[in-house]
Amino acid sequence: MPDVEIDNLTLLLLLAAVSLLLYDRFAKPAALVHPLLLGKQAEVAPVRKEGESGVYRSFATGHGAPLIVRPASGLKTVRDVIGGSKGGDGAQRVILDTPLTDTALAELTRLLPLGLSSLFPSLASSASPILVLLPPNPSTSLPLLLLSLASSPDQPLIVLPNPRVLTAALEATAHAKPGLVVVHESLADGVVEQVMEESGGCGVLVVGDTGEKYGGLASSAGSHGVVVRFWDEVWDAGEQQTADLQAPQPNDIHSFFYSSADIGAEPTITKFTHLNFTAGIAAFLSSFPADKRPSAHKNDVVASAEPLTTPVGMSIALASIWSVGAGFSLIRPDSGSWVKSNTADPLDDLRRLSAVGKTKPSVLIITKEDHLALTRALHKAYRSSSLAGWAMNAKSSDIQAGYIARKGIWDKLVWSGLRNDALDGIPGDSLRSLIVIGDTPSSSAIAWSTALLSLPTARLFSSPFSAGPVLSSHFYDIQSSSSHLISPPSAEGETSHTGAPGCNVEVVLRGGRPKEGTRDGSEVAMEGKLYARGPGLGAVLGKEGEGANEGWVQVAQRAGVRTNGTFVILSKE
Amino acid sequence: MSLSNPLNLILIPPILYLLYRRLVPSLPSTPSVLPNKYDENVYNWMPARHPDVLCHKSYTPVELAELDGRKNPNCGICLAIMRVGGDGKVSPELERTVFDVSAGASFYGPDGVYGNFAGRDASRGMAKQSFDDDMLTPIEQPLDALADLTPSEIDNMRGWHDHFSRKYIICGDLVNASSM
Repeated sequence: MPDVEIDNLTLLLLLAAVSLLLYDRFAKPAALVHPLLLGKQAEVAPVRKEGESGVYRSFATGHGAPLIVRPASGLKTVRDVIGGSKGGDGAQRVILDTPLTDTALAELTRLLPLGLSSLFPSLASSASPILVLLPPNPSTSLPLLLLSLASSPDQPLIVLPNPRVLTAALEATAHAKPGLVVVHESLADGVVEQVMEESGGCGVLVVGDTGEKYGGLASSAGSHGVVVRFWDEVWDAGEQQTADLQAPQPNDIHSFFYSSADIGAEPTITKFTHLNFTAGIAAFLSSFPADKRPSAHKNDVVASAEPLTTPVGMSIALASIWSVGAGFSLIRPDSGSWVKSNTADPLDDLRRLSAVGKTKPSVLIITKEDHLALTRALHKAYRSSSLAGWAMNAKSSDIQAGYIARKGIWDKLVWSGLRNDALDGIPGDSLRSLIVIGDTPSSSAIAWSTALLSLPTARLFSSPFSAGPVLSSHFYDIQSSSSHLISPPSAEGETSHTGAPGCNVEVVLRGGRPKEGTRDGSEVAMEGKLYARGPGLGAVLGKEGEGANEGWVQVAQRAGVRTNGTFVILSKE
Repeated sequence: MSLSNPLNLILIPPILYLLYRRLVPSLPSTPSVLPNKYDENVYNWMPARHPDVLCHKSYTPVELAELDGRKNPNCGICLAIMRVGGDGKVSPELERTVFDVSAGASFYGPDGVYGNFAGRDASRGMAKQSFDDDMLTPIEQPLDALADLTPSEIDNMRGWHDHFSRKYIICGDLVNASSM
């Protein structure tokens, strides 16, 4: 028998073996959020009315506490968004493809109402709203954003989602007749003609053209009593005016948003005050943990697919300007179109964000369709990687323990390179937050995007009647089944939950019945029509009158609540 | 130090295995039915039941009497107190709030000091600060109109109603059987 001696190498190998054993046994990654908190994400009121569920609030808010109406005491109206920026006066940022410093933005907001009053004297003399009909695209959204920042109590905005509702807006009795119509050059002819027929005396401001193409239109409209001017004229006209602008108060009307209507149907009009929007900004920012909020210090760029013609899209833009020092982009095709083409590749809009000279976004807020396309593109790259299988085992193991991060040896060897090479680097190292807004993706798509991007995929459910998200998933909630990673990402299958009510929203389910007994995680405890209430919800103007139904607004046709307080949207309309 | 030492050779495979397990953990499986109890070693779980929520409803005196903590111990303990209007007068509509006082079972439970108020209209007793049985109206009779209460007694009753509103759950209204 050979001599068995314990030499130094034996001791070293023993030490290595014991260390690895202890490390393997005890060095488990800690979950990003304690699973006990994920078991109760909403708090339900102890008593409910007959025919409806109890009223739910976010567990962090709780019942009994007032709902927050602004993210900080200094943000009382939309106009305070510029003053609260943390980018510093000298910091230049790109807002909707336009380089702007905070000083320049404040100056534009000051000059805009002065210029409009100068170009349209009738606007200054009467309290009448400004109707805005601009395509929801990057180049035409900046005028809408500036008008929103400059909105005054005498000239609130009327924001239209598409040209179909123009006639209804010009004839509506729910608000005063507009004194000015701001329209894109592609619709200038038709709008001027309609204004001449419907509302003589109303001015038209054309965005896009400088007067070269439509100068003749201005002359002929002038002979019919309709003043037609052009966007570029506003600034020079404003420089020549000096006047004290009326400062808005939180409860002053900021805007009327029209919701898209089917052809032939009446659109719904929702009135928003400045307080609604500050509450919406607070709700949006609360969907991030404190250390993940968009921040000037991190040079964040927020890119959003939600157009500014929706109230929540406007809130996201305002929140980004208020808290971000780098910029805000819109994930839309830069064309005069009003809707995204069904045949267009959703990834084209994302790729546009990484064009030369543009800072890649660090916070992506995308739709369900964009999310699936992005996930599938990454999945394709993942399948072609030889070490992908091993890397996915390690990643999946971390996710099942509740941990996800862009760290570790597999991120260096596989994931980082995969993400930086895909889609011109959009999902690469610069990206640190991903949010899906609107319709909720499938659980399969969520599981795959979490693994491939190594980021939690937060979800927000919005409504055309709310300036902030109605439902908001916990930022670090990555509960999922490992079986979702067996098949490729798919839009089919179980719909993921959309989280608990937003931080300043109450929700209730009506018309359903509670389901008794225990159930597995996929079933809901109660279904019904989803109603919401809170300082971020606007006043829906309708037959019942403002404030009807105790402030409750229906936001989804059918939704369910699970036993842990998260909601699943089963049918939006 | 030599790899020809059998002991050293024996130690190498487990070290390689532990390294492999560390770098390439086995793919975890999630059960088809999620655990419904919290466990510190489990991340994916879902509570078994939605929290119970009481339904706000109107009770007759006979129905309220069932909730005295004795007849149906699992259905909670309730009592009613009249609401006082802003003018300090007793409401002619006899509006009474039903409170779920199960959280105060030590006071209002079967063996509690104020146990005789459980399942009953406690308005007169609260107004007169008396827990005698003659403060209670028989459940077959219409609700006590409380017309003989003095202003200070009405104020007393209002104070108790406010106290109960802060401390206990409001779960219904007490109405006459004829109004149902």
